[in-house]
Amino acid sequence: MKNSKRFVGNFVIASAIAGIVLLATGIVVHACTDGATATEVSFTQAWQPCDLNLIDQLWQGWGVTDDSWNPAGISDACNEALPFAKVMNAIALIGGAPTVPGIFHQRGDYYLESRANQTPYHADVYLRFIENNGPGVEALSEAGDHTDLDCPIFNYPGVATPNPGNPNAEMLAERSAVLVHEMWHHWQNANGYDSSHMDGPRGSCHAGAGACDWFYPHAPGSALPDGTTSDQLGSLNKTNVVNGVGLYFHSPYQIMAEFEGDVAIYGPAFIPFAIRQEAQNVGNYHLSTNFVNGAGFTIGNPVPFP
Amino acid sequence: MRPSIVRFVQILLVGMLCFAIGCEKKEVGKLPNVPFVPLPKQAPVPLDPSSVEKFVDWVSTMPSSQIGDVKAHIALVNADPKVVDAVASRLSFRNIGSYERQLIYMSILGEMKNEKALGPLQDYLFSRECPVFEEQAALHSASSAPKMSILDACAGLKSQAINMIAYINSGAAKAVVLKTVGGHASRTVRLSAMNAYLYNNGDSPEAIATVRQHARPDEAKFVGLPRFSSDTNPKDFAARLANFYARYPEEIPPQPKPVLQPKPGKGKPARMSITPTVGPGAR
Repeated sequence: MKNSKRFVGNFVIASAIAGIVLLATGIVVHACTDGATATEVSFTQAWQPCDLNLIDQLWQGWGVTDDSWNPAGISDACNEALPFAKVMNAIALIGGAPTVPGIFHQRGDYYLESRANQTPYHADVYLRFIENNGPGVEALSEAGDHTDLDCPIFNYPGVATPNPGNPNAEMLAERSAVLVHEMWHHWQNANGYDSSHMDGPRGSCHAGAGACDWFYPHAPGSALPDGTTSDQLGSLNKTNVVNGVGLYFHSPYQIMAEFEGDVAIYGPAFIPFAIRQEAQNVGNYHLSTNFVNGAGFTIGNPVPFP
Repeated sequence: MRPSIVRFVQILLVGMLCFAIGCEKKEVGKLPNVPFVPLPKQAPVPLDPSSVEKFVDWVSTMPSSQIGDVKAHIALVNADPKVVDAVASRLSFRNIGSYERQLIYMSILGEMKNEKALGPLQDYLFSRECPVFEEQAALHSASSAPKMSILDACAGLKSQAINMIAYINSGAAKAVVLKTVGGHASRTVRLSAMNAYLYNNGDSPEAIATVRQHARPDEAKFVGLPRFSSDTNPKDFAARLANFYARYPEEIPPQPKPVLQPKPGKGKPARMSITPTVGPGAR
């Protein structure tokens, strides 16, 4: 009986220790291929990623509040090697988008649209961290509810033999644009439009299943039927579908390409050159790849140091 | 123990637990203001065969205001074949360093305008180590074609290669660009080749005619698209954009039709994550 009591006691202690170990393992950071590029880190010199008051606002406002973020760096919130801080850096880049006239859309519009909390653009949604949603996927939205962010937009590329088609492209401008893109799916849902992509390849879209959209052309600062221009604050949220030609509307790939164009050409002085160059490169990639109809412009001049 | 004391201890424990894991409700108000400061200018790094990585470290982290310094340092060595070799040896799809670094290696080679860079850039452009989406898709049946909603980084990097070849703009470089206009597997790369050829040949009517001759028939309409850049006249851009869709009405998208009642969603669930904290290495 005495031995039995000791056994029970030992069992309880062992169970408690095991529970603690399991709990600790659960929050040990093991995310994607962790690491940060020099460009990723350089942008953090332009803002204060370790300011917990600011991080709290971004964490809440952009709905990075699912427990999937616990093992993805939420306890090391300004360590850019980990996904949580990379999301913060991406949100900050959106918050640093240009504000000058003559761009596609204002910083305030991209910033408000990309937020997860209820906005004039969409209902309350949240962001989840997903290591792998299947091959070829970097993000996925269940419109009206949540968005999954996958490892391909976080992976550090400093390892040998990247996967063809995705050399572990840890890229800040593209990650920000993905947030803008994915939140537009929630806008589509909130406004009663089909939030799915079309399958490719088809027409001018040379991408795979679920990666094609229509492109609704408008020039930067274009006049809208209500007397405003598209580069005025609030104009991103308008859908002046006036007729079959003068269509003012946006699809998810379109809004991300316009964001990349604005950052590439008019990115403020606190955005590193390399981020602007990346934005131009990937913006042009999306313009030429993801639209069933042709996108009628390109971003920037094709020079070595634009 | 009296029940009231037990109750008090229970509330205290719950409170402590909440404090530990962060139960407090945060006010969600206006958009957070991210205070930005300009990036500091960095000391330029001279470019030589032994300093390529340090030079690229500088370029990959500097503000755009230092582009002039970068060009000046490249101009000092643009005839040095050892520098070309040293930079070109970093072009890789297996050890890319980072996407930005590969872009910058190619930018240096383009800026040098050294004919010796043409070979490595061309090898990169047509490399089979990094098949573009169209090449991957050709390996699969239609039903098992890759999803590829992710960025096709192979195509993105190869489009930079053709831009830099076009910037070299020698006779041999032009020949490579025109071959690419109609012959590369990637649509992204083909359209980049069209645009870069025109840019480096003054967007002249002759250049437009030449590129159209080499373009695939279904892509000839994309020769001469307007460029959104800081030196673009907004009215000219808008007119050219409108002209493209007027000339090719089949490229006008269909009217979007509201098709669904908004899905109600489940609303944002009660927060389940722990509260963000900074690690020991925080600045």
